[in-house]
Amino acid sequence: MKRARISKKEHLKQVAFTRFMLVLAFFALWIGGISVRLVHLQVTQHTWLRERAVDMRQDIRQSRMLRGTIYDRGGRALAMSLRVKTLYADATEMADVGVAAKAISSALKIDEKPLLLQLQQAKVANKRYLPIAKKLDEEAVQKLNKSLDVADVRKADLPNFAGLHWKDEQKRSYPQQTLAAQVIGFSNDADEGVAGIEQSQDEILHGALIRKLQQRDRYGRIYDEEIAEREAPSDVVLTIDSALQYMVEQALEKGVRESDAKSGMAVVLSVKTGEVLAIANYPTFDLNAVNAKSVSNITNHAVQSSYAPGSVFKLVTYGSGLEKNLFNPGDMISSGNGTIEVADHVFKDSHAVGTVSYSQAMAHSSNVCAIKTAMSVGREDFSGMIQRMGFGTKTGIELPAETSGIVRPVAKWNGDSLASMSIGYEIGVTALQMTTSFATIANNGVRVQPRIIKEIRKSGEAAQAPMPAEQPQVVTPETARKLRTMLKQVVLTGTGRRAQLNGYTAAGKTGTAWKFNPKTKSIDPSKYISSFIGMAPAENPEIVVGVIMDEPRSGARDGGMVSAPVFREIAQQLLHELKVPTDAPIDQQTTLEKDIPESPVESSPTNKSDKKLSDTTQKADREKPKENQKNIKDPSKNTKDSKEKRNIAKERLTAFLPKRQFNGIVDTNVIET
Amino acid sequence: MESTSNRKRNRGRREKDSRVSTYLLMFGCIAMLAAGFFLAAQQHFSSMDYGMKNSRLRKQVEQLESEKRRLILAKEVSLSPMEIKKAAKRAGMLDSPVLDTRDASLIVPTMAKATSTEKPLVMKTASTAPVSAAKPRAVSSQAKAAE
Repeated sequence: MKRARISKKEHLKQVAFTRFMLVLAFFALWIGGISVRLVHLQVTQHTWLRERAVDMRQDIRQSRMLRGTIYDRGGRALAMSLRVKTLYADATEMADVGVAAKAISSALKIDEKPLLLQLQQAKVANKRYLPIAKKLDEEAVQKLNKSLDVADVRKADLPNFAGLHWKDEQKRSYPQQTLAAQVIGFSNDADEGVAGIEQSQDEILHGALIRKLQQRDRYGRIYDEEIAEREAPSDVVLTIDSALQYMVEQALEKGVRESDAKSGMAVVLSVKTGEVLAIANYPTFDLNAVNAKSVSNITNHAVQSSYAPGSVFKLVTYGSGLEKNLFNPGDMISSGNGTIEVADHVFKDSHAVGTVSYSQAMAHSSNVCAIKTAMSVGREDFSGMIQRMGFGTKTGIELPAETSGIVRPVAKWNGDSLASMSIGYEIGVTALQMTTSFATIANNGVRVQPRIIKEIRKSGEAAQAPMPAEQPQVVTPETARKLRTMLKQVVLTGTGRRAQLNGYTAAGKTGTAWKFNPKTKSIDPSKYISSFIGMAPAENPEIVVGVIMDEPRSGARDGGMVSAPVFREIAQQLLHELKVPTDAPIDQQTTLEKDIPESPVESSPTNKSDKKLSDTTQKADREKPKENQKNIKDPSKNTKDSKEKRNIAKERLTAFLPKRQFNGIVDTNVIET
Repeated sequence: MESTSNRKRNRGRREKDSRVSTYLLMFGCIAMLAAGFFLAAQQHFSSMDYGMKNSRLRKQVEQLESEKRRLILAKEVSLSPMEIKKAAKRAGMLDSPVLDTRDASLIVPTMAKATSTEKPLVMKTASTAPVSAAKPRAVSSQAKAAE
């Protein structure tokens, strides 16, 4: 009995054990299967699964940092970037492009057919980026998000429409519109500066690409974000003052309209610092609407175009005469009957001034006296003066595509080159170069380095001002003072009377030059470049203003009539704005008893058959008999004492009168008046 | 005999005690493990929540900075000489027409367009709202909308 009970108990235990083992075996098999599968997935399909997991969880977004801002010297924004969005379609995500095209065209109010065609093509080509609407502001984005909302679609980003996404971009805005358009320039869609400061300072302004590594949950919400640290772009502060710039632009526009000129440019420099307070070009364009029409106005002619300066260049000629102590402002000089022949060319004055003081010769813009001065100075010294004044080299201003102008080496000069250059022909200068040379005289002969960038501002760092350039002494302070006195006479009694200011003294020089016609390869007597460059106050100049008019077509077209009034308007307003103390009686009536006209140099070959004046390049290429060049001797050679130099020059000029011949220069009809 | 039975009883009691303590220890370990899991899960979800809030705040900062830039730009536009002239003309303070400094050929159509219905260059566009800790759902929906 007892034995039977034991065997039954053992049997039950065995059954339980067997069942337990079965369950265990089942679990072992189950876990074993799972383990095998796990090993298979993690060993053989590891890479694919990992990529898939990362793809589901991680999102890499790239966006560009906002481009740096351009400010004027007063902190007014001239160019700023804003965040905008571009709506694009990923055609591969669209089940039915027809439905999508209908919805998008309805929301954007655009034609459905071309859009449908584009989407179909993109779908076939597996194109994942098809821009639909570019650079929309936040308001437009929100409106589109509302209109392109499909309740069934669940997406991490908006719009809630299959296959449509937003891309972060930026848009450049120019709040001052046309103001200093050629100086500021503009950038393209790729955020690259293509003109003006935008181009020259692109490296500083350009925003770096930021890479954002975002971790998203299954609803697409970002729960972790890693942003690669990149240096923020810097801001550029210009020396330009937007208020002054506006005044200059208005005055220039008025001047261009009144003289019916083709175009005009104006440059304002601060004498003490070399800072450019304004650079204006007219016609101009709206920076917010650059189109095919505005292309012709994009060029900043003040630094990118060279022109024959005409009589304004006599500053250099008379300056070199003074610097070599060959002349003094009070010395008398004869222009004879107003004509002079140099190497088969006859140069004439617009009106004969006879024998006048050196100062009056400049005031009346005598070509003959200027040529005589240059002849006395000599080729090498005159060339040296041109170079020291900065012609033929770039000024180094922080603007793109600056031209160095055209200055030929002495070896390539022709027989009449010295004469031509002394009156501003056979040389190409920019408006900025010419204005800078006047600023040098205003700055007591110390060369002024024009600059347009006041400082560079980096976020979190102190503002950096550009390194000041070397400022060599070009002419002695005494020469500069004498020149200023002579330039003052130009305004008081000479060709620049219309530049007289109210409450301030002014000094300057007019210039009227014929334009070179590239088609006929000769001077076109019907086209002028009229200019006036001046400084104020005359004794202690604060500003230098250069005004150049291209092809004035109505009324008197000389610099004194066309550009001097623009100078007056600009200088009058700017001096008041800059709070410069007055140095002359206020409300004085500008005495314009009689305007002294100035015309481009009249020149003709001695055979009178051809009245063409060759251009710089033409002359450079043309082979002239070298006899003429040999005939022109440097009167300063072998002279040491400056007094001696002056005496020699005087003697030569005196001797020149009765003999009618002087070193190859034939004064055709010298009559003492 | 008694001593043998007592010994057996004592051994049984000791075995029972040690089993109880083992169970208690196991229970304690399991409880700790479970608590650890719960804590870790809470930390995980909390970190995710903070991450989301952080992301939303960052986005909000960006929006506010954008808005600030827009306002600065709007200020600059409204202070630009052209806009001041237009405003003065609208207010009847200028008799002469506003001269546009653009290309002469563009002046006439530009003047014609210079009316009060003209769309300003810059408008207030960004919409931002403070992050509220009390309304996490509203915040998350806003953040989702911002995505």
